[in-house]
Amino acid sequence: VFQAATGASSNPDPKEAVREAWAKASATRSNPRIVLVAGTVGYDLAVLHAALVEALGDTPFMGGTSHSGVMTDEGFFGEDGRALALFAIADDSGDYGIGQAPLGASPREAARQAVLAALIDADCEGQLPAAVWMITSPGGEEAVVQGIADAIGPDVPLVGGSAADNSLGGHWRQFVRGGVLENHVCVAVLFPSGAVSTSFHSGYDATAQHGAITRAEGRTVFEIDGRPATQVYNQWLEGSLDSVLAEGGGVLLAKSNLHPLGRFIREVEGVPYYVLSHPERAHADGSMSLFTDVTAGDTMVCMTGTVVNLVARAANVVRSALTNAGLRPTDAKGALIIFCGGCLMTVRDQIDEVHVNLKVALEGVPFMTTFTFGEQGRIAEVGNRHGNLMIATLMFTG
Amino acid sequence: VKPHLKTDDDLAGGAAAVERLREVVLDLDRAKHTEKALREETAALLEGLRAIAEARSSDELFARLLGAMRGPLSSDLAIVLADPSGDGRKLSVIASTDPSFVGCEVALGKALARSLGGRVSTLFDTSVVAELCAPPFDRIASCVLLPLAASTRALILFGSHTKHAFGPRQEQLVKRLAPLANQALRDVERSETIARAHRELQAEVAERKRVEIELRLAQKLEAVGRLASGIAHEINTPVQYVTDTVAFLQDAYHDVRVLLDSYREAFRALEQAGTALAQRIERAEEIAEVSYLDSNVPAAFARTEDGLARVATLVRAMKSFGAPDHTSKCLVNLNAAITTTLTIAGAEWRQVAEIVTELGDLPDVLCLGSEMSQVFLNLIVNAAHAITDAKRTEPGRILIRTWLDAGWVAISVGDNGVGIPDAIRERIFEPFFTTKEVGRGSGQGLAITQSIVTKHGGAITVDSELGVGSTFTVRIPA
Repeated sequence: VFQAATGASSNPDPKEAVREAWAKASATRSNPRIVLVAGTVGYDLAVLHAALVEALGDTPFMGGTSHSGVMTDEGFFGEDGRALALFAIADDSGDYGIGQAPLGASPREAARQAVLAALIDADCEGQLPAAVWMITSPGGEEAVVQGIADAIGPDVPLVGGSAADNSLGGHWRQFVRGGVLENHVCVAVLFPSGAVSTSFHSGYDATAQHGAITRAEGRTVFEIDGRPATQVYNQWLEGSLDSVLAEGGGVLLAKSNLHPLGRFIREVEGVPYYVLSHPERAHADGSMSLFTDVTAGDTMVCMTGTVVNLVARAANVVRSALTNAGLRPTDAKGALIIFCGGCLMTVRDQIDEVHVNLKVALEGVPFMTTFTFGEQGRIAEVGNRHGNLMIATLMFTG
Repeated sequence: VKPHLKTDDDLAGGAAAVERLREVVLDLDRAKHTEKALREETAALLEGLRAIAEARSSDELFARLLGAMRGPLSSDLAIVLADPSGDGRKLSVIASTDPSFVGCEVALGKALARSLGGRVSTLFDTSVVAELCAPPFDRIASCVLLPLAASTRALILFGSHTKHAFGPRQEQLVKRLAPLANQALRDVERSETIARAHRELQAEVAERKRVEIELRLAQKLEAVGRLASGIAHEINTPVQYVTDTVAFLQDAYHDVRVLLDSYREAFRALEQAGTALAQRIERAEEIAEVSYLDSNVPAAFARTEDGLARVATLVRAMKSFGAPDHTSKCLVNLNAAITTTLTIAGAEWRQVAEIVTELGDLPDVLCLGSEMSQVFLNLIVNAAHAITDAKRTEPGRILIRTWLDAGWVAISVGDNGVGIPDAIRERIFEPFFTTKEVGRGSGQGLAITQSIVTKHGGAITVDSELGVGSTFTVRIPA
């Protein structure tokens, strides 16, 4: 029988944090088969990892760093940027496996190899998992999503996020039992004895402002409608970026969190839906860095969101996952939630309200939320996608 | 129409409403797609259900199910794998849309064992699944596995010749199909079990009837035996003194005849003297028919002796046949038992056939003598009836042979009666099977005969030609 349990701590001492979190997460009826981890870079990750290895014994674990804090059904942890959360799965009738690979020159191939390794680890080689949980590094997520499809096809639900640090300083990491990893893709293939349901949404609306990318490379947009990208974006934001641009560029997150760029995915009953790209930084040459790949020809729409939307959104995504599977909250046995780190910055003061909303939506079901710098999930009738400022959930049922 | 928003709270409320509305639209859209998928799945399942609902056996159910689900799953082939031996090492293909798979075995590796344990699973690339790499299973590149909760461990494999042919949608369809297929299979198996139990019950009832009749016949035979033995004992005493008396009378007649010859010499002297006494003596001899007595009395004594000898033989046979039944085997001279039985059954065959016996040298055989006598009796009576049924003008012939045959004692009873038609030859040993008119046979004779022979570790065979005759041969261990 599937059973999930969570544990979290914000104890400044990483060893104590592990001890406190594991004491709660390991309180399952049978020994956990796998533990999914979210921690912050506020800890010495080497010490944290060693403590996890010692505490969890032979239990395999996998995870990544979370922006500023973590959240479980107990609440938000990370007041001073140090927090650890564990999501333990006990399921004697299920199978679970973990695989990882350095992103290197080909994130796509790395992801493919990681999934195949995870299937071998689960002793389920060649078998289609019910879902894949992934943690990767920011950069190349689209290729990672494609690499996973290369291995097991495009139809297996994928939920995950890009590891984050507390300051956009590039200190994000992944970890598995073998060590703390940098620039790796880690995946867990899940064959739970029950079913899974997923949901992947954003909380933004389109504005009338839009333009076509006329020059781009990777995640850098040089021109929109033939003009410098930052100039166009600043115009859409009615001059909000004037001060940043006056200084020759800089971090845009504080300004762009509520105004990301959207790429049209599909229209539902006349309502357009978008996958989001989060402008990260303005450069002196007029170009702009995003957290997703873009290509010339893409039409970008300036989106707008509100704190109210973001506060409500996580619970709505959870409800949507329940609705999609025709479930009541009491049918759920556990939930993993990926919440954009950028959104967290925006709703940081209302994070307890987010937590209350999730508690109400999940009615006591154990859950763990990781705050990421890139989100991956499955859009109904579209497939697995990478986006920014998104919220994804993976729900386990009995 | 642009809403008239006055305050931050109005803005927040409006945003929340839009957010919720967007959520509802998305959920409705998802529900619409889910409903469409469910409708398609349900149509496929109904098709499958229609196919399996009419199945009357598990074989028929498999054939119909595999055929019905190939289309909805877009599978190239479907097979049923079972573990009839239950040893958990191999699975055998017991049904397939591709006949070349039937009978093939596959090792029960991890992937198949996992599904056999109850999990519907999809193998997107079977080239990495060791147990499916050997021919002919290497022709399956991907598959969905459906476990069956049948009386034997089994699973259905829907396969494709291409990798990644099945995804979560197909797996979901098979998951929905699984309980329906299993319920149908359980129903069919239950029906098969009931039918099998019914057949077994019928066989048991028939066997009990046969045993009861056999027992009744044995009891009757034992009673008849006891009666015969008693009668034989009662007859034996008067027969003995009649025999003695006849011997006495024969001796007396001989003595009187010698005396009469002496008197005749005296008579001839009186006759020569011409006396009246001589005339009276001659007249007395004529009245007494002495000449007739001289010529017929010895023959009468001879017939009486022969009759008494036959009665004595019959009495001995009756005593022998009616000897107390033995529950344990003892050494029996089967040739003697046959001879005795021929005597007992004389009334059955004497009017219709002559008996020819070719009795070879046999060792005494460890058997139940009275039961073997019953075997011979049944065969001899059957032979006589077959000859009667042939309605020949000349007497028939019953040939009884015994011989030793490589550690077996063989006894054959052949007749030149009507013979047995081919159509019923397989049924003549069935209990209650008879072609005789009512009152002439119970249909138990050959069934009991076979039962007795089998009980002795032997066998009975029959050669027959219609219109020519039949020969039954019994073989029991020497």
